Amino acid sequence: MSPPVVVGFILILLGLYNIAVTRNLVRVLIALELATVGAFAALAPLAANNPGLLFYGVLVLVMISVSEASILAALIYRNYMLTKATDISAAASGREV
Amino acid sequence: MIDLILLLAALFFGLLTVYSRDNVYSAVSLASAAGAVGAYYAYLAQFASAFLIFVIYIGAVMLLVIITAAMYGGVQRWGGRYFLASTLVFLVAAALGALLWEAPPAKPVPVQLGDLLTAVIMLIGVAAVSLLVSIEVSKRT
Repeated sequence: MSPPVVVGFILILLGLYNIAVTRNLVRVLIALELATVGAFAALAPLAANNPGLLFYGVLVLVMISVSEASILAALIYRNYMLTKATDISAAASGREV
Repeated sequence: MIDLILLLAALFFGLLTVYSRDNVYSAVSLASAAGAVGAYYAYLAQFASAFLIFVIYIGAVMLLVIITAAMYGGVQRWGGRYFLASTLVFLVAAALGALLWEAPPAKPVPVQLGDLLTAVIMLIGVAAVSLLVSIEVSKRT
């Protein structure tokens, strides 16, 4: 295997572990983007045999990351407006009845 | 040589993202890791993909992440156990990566590309419809 695949694999594993272990919503957003950066790195060896597919893969990854970052930013904003905290455990106290 | 340096920079800033306590420093080092990956794409002479990563990904997504981290702030309340556990996860991932490195290279499979124009038109249509719906929803509240 080539080095970018190894680096991307390590970055994806670190991002997934960091999502699983944290309780802070801002850190969840950061760890999710870390996994996306790892996916970018793991996609890079496709440039050797199919550059057009690489471009579309990068395009799809960018669209996915835009949508998930906007969803998480809206979630953080709503959670902070209702509970004055960005902690996941505070989300239950901001419930609208 | 340059590609290994760029990949090591991406790995270093990714580790810094995991290990830094402050969310703002974490977001900034994440943007640096994304910049290193984009520079690796530019080194591979994939300029369209590097343009996408630099302008759209760093310019929009990383801006959103950095501004969110700077607005809400926060630090991690983690002690030595977190550092120990993430170091263990990193070492296991590095060992698995070394195994991947040593594995024999697979034979490349030819990929059949279908009609991409329909998929692109569908994606743009879905994006336009979701933009309209989100604008209407945000007007009502």
